[in-house]
Amino acid sequence: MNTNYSENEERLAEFADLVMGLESIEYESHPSDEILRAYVAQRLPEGRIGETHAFGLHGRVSRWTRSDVSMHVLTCTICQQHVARLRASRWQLLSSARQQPKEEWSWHRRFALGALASAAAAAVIIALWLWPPSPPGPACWIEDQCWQQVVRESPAKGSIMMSYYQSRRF
Amino acid sequence: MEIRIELARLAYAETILRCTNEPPEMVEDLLSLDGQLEKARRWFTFAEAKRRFDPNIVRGLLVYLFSHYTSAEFDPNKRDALVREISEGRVRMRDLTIERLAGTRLSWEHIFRLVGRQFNPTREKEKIKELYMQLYSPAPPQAEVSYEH
Repeated sequence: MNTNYSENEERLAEFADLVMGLESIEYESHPSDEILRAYVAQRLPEGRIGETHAFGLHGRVSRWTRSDVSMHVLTCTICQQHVARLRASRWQLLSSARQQPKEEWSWHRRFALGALASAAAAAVIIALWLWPPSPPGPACWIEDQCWQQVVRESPAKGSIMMSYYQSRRF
Repeated sequence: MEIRIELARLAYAETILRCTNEPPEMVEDLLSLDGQLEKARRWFTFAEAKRRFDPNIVRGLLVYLFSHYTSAEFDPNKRDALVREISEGRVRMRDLTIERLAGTRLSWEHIFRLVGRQFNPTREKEKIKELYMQLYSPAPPQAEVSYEH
């Protein structure tokens, strides 16, 4: 990876005290194996800092969030080892899954699939070709006089024009 | 008690990295329960910087910080695994936790890869320090007005 920035120039030392000096804690309870697996697989939910119980403020943890587990593992040597093992096994699993070649279709299987697709396409074309056209209906063109206008006298409204559809008879 | 609040502050910092952080006014009381209001406010400055400046760059600075200073011990295996994932583009900043970064000692090249572009860390750091001064530094005393003639 090329970069123009020398990595030794900036160390952000002014902010180091914000994160330095964490000590290990001897916890009374630990997240279960299932929780740690979910954490490694990034399947744990996010939580709100104000609601968290993980830092021992209110006793035992009822629901582990992602940050809860992260902070616990950060300060618990037992869980650090456990998470490291889980990560390693997950990594191996993912690597082996990626390396495993996909099942190659044999040539006769491909040929059969191609023939089937071709036959289906041909059947559709033939069906469209042979499909009987719908019988000619009484088309009513604008130039054909298929309607009739009659002026009628209405006692209430006076003269009104009424249009009647005139069906063609053959 | 103090170590718990320290962890709560770190957990808040982690949410800044993943962009799931709550507004400072909602957590200020909790995160300064041990009297370390200044520390809490420094984290709040990162949250505000993310809002005002390029958020990914601010997150990149946090990744570097967590990677280098959270753990005193360097973990080469952990670093190699993370670097491999970064190089292959299989990890994003929202996937990271402080625990995952602790002891990995990522280089700026890796941070740039995560952020998606290069930037000048010193300049960005200075911007954050200036923002802190702007947000939390006490107002300068006003000049005394003399009424003498």
